[in-house]
Amino acid sequence: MTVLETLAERDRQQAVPGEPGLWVLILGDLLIFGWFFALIVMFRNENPALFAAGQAQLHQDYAMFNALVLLTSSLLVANGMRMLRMGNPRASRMFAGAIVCGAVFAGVKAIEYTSLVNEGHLVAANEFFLYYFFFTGLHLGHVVLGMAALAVAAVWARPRHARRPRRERAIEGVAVFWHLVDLLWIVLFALLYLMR
Amino acid sequence: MNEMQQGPGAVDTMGSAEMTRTLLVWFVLVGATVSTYLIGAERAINSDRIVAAMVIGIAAVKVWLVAWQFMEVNRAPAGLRHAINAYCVGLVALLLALYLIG
Repeated sequence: MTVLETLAERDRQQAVPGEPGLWVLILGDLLIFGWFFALIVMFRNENPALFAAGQAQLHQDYAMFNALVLLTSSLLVANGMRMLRMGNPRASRMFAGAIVCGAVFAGVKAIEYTSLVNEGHLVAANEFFLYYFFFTGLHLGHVVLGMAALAVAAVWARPRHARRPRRERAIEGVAVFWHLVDLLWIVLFALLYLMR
Repeated sequence: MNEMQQGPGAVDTMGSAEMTRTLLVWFVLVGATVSTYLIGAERAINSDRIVAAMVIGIAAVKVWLVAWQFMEVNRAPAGLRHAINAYCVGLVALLLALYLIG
């Protein structure tokens, strides 16, 4: 292996997934949500009874199911990305599968929202539901945005499209964003649904 | 025919090994999700503080695993790896401090 090949190999192994600029947005989003997570814990400490009463109305089983759905979508995207790099023509199907998972997540969330609203737990019901609808709604916005980005990734990953490094980087960026969506739900699930 | 252009099979083997590792990490994440559900929702533990500490701690480990194996931070430059490590440690420290002290 020549020096150039060694350097190229090191570069390939140590690369920022996606465009480096995207990571500014990802880390920024993580910090903003970090602040939101802190707000949830502070709200719970100031209003333990209200928090417990609100949490008791939530559907923890739906939320766990959705956490598993997003984890599975992340598995599909992560391995779809690796298949794409290996030139596997089925990579596109992995991204399509993740979109289906995103749709299932949104569908379950819609059922959960409908049942809460029907039971009278509206945004204005109390501060707990204000927090709940704001944070889960913001996350759902991320899910929808991620699904749209995954749709582009699924088309670009199709075998009839020529492999271009820039496109591969863009698809990598979509994958990183989708994992962020999964990651944020992990913490929201823990704090809103499970923490007592 | 992209496999051919990528050269020797060693690249594919590495990719396959990473895919297997990602699948294993997924199993761990699923196990952790079901465990936290049992701890938090099924009232398996009485103490609120212990439940909160476990739920927050496990969530931070899950976040790290998703970043490390799914986002491929494990093969990113040191700066990004340190940023993610610091975020996970900082998150668990901040949330636990707020919960226990507040």
